Amino acid sequence: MLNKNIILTISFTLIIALIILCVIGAFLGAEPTERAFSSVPFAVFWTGFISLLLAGIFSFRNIFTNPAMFAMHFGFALVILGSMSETENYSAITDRFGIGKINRGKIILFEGQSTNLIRTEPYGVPKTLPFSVKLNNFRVEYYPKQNPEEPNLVKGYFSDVEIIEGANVVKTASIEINKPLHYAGYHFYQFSLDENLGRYIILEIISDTGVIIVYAGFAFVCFGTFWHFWFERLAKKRY
Amino acid sequence: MNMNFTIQYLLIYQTMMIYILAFTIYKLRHRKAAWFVYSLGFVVSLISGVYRGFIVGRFPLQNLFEVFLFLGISVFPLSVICKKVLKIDGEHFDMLIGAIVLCAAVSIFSGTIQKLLPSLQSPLVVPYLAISILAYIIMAKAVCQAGAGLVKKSNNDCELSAYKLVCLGFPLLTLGLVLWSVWAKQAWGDYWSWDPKEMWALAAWLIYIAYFHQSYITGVKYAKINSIWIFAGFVFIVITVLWVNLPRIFADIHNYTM
Repeated sequence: MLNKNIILTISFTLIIALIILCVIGAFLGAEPTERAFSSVPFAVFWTGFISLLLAGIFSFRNIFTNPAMFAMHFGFALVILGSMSETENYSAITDRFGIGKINRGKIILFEGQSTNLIRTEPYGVPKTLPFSVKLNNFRVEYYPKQNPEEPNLVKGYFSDVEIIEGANVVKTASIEINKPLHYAGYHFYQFSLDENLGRYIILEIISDTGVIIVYAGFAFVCFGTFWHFWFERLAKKRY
Repeated sequence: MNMNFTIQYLLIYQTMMIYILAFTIYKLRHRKAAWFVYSLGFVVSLISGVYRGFIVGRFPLQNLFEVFLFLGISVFPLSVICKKVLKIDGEHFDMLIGAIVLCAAVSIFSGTIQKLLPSLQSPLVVPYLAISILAYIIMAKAVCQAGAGLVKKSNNDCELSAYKLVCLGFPLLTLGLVLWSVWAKQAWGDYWSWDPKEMWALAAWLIYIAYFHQSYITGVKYAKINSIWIFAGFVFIVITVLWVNLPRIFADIHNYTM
């Protein structure tokens, strides 16, 4: 077993390091931060973080035996792990071994047409899906105006699509913002649309592999924090 | 600030005045009287909340104005819970916080029914906002306690109160981040977009984690250092809230959509 004090000291240092990195990230802006936090050196950092959380769980008796403490630490490890499985680097690895799904990409769909081609970054030869998506129609709804000078305010974007496998329509759905379509391990998000030039939409398609792990992590973390702090800590007289 | 003289607004102005009056009476050391006035303020704020629900014809918790009104109502129950259950003093801070929150409700947000952008039309938005801001209020109260602890000579009581308040607020802060994340996933496809506001929010959350680890390692031996963590956490929360000033937040959410 590792020395508890060493684990505690490293944990504390890593937490402070992460705080500093977050602040630096806040000044850098969203795009450079995302690139940095999903880069290979950071993958090492995150792996270290997960290992430390697990080491903490197994070295501290009160984390291992207390369900709430366990849930907090384990849940956090799950969230990091799930998020890592959605990065470009991870999909580069799975691609090399020819396993795994397409991580994320974009589908350009013209009204009335169907396609199974996905454009993934870096944009080269498009990949194919085992099924096709057809766009029946799309529309933009606006809020009614009180007076004619008011600008048009969008109420919603709706894309009516069909999923076609072979010759059969297996699913029909209307994709909206806040209402992505889920099919065969992928989420389809409304990404962009064009009403004037060619009446087409762009859907973003994202694999759902990491989602279940991240959501499980969220559930663990929430259960753990509420249980531990509200029902264990606050119930005590002293800490 | 536009003064608005509808019944709704008059009720809110009245609540604010009663809260400030309660604070003054508390500071004059008439605690019982202050509690009485405070509870009166609660009743008036409750009436204004019910009135709001009555005119809009739905549960009044669907836009920022209503969220802040709700928080103005909830400071009194919060004080009662802190006083009776957690044995934490400092209800005068709540009276001030309540007045400030209601001031924000009437000055920054409009009570008119808003047209929501597609990305904001999610059932997760209001719980996320209400829970996060409730957590911020509790953390503000913790800072008041920690500050009182730093000023006074014997500070163990204040430090313990601050600790309890952080224990009360931290799960809410966590749930707020999780709800935000789930909503972001649904609306834009990503849990986390690494923008500055999110980075500050994450840093604030991590500061409280650092605080818990610090107090686990050293206990009350370095109570002042513990208090400094609470201060730092709240400074980060303030930066999170103010980083992009309020109209810009919504401009950004516009940009997210399409």
